[in-house]
Amino acid sequence: MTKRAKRPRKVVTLRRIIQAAFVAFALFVGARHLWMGSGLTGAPSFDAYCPFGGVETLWRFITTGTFLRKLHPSNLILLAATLVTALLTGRAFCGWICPLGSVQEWLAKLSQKLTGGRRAWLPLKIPPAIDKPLRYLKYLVLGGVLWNSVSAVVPPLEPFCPYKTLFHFELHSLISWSVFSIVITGSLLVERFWCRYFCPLGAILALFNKFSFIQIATDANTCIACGLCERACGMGIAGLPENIHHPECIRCLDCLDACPRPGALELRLPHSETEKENTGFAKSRS
Amino acid sequence: MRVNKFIFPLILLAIFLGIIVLSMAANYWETQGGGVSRLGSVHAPVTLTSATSWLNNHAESCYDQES
Repeated sequence: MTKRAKRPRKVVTLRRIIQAAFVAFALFVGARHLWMGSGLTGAPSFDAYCPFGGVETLWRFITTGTFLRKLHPSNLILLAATLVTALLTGRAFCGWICPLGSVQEWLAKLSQKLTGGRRAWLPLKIPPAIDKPLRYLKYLVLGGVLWNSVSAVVPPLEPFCPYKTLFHFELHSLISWSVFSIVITGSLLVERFWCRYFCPLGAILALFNKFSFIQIATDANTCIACGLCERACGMGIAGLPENIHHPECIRCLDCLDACPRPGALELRLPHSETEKENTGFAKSRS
Repeated sequence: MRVNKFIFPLILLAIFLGIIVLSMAANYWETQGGGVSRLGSVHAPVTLTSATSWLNNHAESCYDQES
């Protein structure tokens, strides 16, 4: 009797646990603030735990040494921690830590289950001709926030931020309701809708993917071009595995889990042998 | 050099949480103010005790300026 091949262990379970822990923490912070209120005896608001708050208050801090309203040193520290992790691991913050990203991912999974599991028509596959230009919107959002942060008193993104609306249970204005509804509906239709098209923090972290210390590398000799990695990609990156260093990659490692060939996709330190082979990948396929 | 896919999240968390813990140990972590920040900004005090002492000091300095 032949021995059955051992199934490779999946990293997705570990990712789900880590994501759930950060979502639980975010909900705890929001609920504690709601329960205890603000002020001298209250609890810190959710604003204090946002790494993008560090970006919003950076100009004010550099020029005056003070912070925008509702922001604190914790925002700058979280921004620093996010940027250091981005230098090492690329956009992995989005894939593993960001609570809003996790909620969007779960909403997409829910819509997939509700519309028929593996053969589901949701989440939608957006044609590249529409998808690609839309992804540049987040750089416009980032530019707008940076421009406004120069003269701002409160964080410029705050009135529109779905992150805050969701975990701060703050649905008091028409704007917050509108943004919240759009993000929730969008996430049911397109996986990681906010991350793909609007997230200004994602726009910053995307720049780190090309030169982060740890990279996903493809071995052209082992890869059989089955397309399973592309199908597993929650960010909808086209042309995998050749396009593995794409700025939109959130290093969730779903592609590594989906890959049926051991060694075809691996996490590597840059400039190693497989990385060199990867440069000839496109040529060998053409 | 190959990096194990299960080690990757541990590196990510160790760096991310490590920086936060270090900042807490160095007293830089502030989520609600607390007097004059080590980073240079002035906040409202956090506890009732510190609030009372802050108000007292503030009142004294105002009184000194007037007199």
